[in-house]
Amino acid sequence: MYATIGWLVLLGASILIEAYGRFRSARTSSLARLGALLATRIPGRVVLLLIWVFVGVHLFARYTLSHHS
Amino acid sequence: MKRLVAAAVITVAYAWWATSVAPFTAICYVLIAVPSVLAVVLYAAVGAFSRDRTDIARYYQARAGDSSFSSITPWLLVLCCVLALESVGLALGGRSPGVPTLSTAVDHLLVEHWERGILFVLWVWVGASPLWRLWRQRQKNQR
Repeated sequence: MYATIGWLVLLGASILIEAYGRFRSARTSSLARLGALLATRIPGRVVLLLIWVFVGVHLFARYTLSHHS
Repeated sequence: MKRLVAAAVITVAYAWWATSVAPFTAICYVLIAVPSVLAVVLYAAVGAFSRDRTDIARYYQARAGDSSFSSITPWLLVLCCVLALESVGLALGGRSPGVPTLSTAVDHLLVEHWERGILFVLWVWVGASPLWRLWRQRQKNQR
């Protein structure tokens, strides 16, 4: 229960950081700018693409529902 | 514009199909592999993995703006918290109701077909939008 609240707090923090990054871009990077920073080099682009594939496989091919388990 | 609408319709239809099959099945992995492989091929086609395409590095440097270590610190802190919570969840067996891992927590968003469909479209959009911008950037450079 507490950990679920923890995940929700982290989600809320991420939304706040993203909003702050978009309006006060000089002090905090938005997620898009962070992604662009990582993508300036080829290994960064490869890692970002691998993370995207991993998220897709994990979310849509390996999810567990109560009636599937 | 017509091509964008067609791509959106195909994406939604594909998302609906891909999220209707049972997880952990061969067809499910194939349906995820198709957009994944397509993305890798298209990124390679626009030159995203080519050392000769210095314009792509410059493009991303311009997009990153004046990002520095201090400006990404909040994201690093969130990442550290995610890793800590995930580690505790995994140490407790991965499916603990008290301390669920991120994937167990996200499973609650995947119960209904339409929820999975929306997340699938979002996933495709996250992967395809940088590709679309790189494609437009390449066209701009060729003019």
